[in-house]
Amino acid sequence: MAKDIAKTSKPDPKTYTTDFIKSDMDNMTFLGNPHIDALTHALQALGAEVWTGRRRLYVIEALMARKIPVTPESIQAYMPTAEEEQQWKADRDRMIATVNSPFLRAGDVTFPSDKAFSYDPHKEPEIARRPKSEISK
Amino acid sequence: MKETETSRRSLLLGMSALPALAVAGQSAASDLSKTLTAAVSGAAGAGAAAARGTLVKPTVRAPRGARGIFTRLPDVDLESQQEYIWGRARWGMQITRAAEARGQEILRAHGIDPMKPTDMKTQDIAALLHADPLIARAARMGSLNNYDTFATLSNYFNSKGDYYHDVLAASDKQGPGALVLSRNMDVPEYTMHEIHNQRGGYMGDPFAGFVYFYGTQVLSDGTNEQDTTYDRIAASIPLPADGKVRRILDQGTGPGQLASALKRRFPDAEVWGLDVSGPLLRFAHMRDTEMGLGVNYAHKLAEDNGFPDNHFDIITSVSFHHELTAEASKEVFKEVHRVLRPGGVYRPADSGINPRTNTPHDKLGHYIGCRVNHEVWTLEWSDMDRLGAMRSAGLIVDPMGIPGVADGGHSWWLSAIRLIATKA
Repeated sequence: MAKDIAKTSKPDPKTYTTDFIKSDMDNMTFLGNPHIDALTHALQALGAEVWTGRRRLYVIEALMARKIPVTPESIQAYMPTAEEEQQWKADRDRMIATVNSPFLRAGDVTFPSDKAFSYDPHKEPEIARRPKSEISK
Repeated sequence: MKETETSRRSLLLGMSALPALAVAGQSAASDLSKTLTAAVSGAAGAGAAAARGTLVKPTVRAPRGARGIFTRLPDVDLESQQEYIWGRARWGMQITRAAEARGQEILRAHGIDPMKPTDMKTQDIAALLHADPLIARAARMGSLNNYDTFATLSNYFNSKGDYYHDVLAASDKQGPGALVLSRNMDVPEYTMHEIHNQRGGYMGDPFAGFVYFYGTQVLSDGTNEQDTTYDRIAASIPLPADGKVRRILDQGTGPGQLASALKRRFPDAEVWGLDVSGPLLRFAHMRDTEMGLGVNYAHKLAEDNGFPDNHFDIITSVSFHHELTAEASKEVFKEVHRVLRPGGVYRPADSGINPRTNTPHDKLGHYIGCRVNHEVWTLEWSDMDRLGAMRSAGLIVDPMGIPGVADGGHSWWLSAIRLIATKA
């Protein structure tokens, strides 16, 4: 049974905390299927973990380049240069774009569907033709 | 206990950092000590800038040192996680813009002008949009940024709970400012929600101050690391007509960034930061102690602050009222009128202070803020007659009285908030 929460609460004498009222975000489904929401969340968490490892490598490389012994303490204590920060963030942004760009797709052509079956190669080029400059987009 | 924890415990006990760092289990430990001695920058903690491309000298509260007045997160992996979420939130602007465009396209296809006021219910508008894949993904991705930011921070600080309990307990007794905590106050239920999906909210997590402070650095796109937004807000506040500023009150002060900025602008004034959350105040006091500013913090409700009548020359708040019930906001306005001295200045700067326009675009924006960002009281705030409530409390209000604060990043909304009030 959930703990009954009074209308008011006294702070804990050591931490000065009180009871709190939980948000329902843990159980909110946005993508029509709770499994897909869970997988999306897991993917985001995994991305952060991968980046954490990669950034550690950057710090280690920076320490080695300066001939500072690589230890758990020196990894924690290193203050990157502004240039390094800029380079690392650029790589982070590239990684985030790679991981997440599929989420930008409109995704409105279900398959099979009338729309998918009505695809007409004689007409589609007029709609879908793109200039050469967009090859990397 | 891991070695890093041992090191931090040693630091807490006032021992030198370098011997602790030298116990690294590396064959080159003595060389390391020499190298560290040579490489460590002169920066000791908050307030001193560390040289880049070097190792940073740790302190008790700042095992990884500081950048200016910003104390770096205590662990490089935690910092990397936050950096990733920060980058994800920046990237998320793309999907948000694409979803907005898609939503407008869908509404127009149903004959609805997204920018024209309508009597349609918010849920009826949302029902037209929620099944669109792009819009659903934008809402999902957006919801995860705050959630993950606060969850990873809360997990970290609570996993080192003994250490941070000791840090806060030691700081509670230090000055130069006072910290007045209460074990007997009646904390209202409305303050106990997990606003912004911050785990435990402001009330339930003993390290809510750390979590909120570092989390909002991520959510502000890194624009406020040096309190720059708050310094600009403090600079924008006009003086009372007689120019006298002896006492200042900042309501809902949270981690104390505006209170600190006010003390920087008015170093001779007695500045009080007030909040219902003990954990937020303890963090604010700890940060103030590090900076040596001398702000006083009090564990009080803004609705019932206990200060004498006509006591303050300036009263402020930022991003405060939208986290109160409408009823609580009305009580706060009455209390402001009671403790503000005649001719004093009242500057509440709050998102959502602009009236709702009742367009589908606006209705959905408020709904998403309330539901996805778990701002549970923001609709009450945006629906209430705010100016009427201030005037009913006796305040003289000028909604366009001062220029808005121009700043980048998340604080763009401040530029639209020009309200200033006083008391006859």
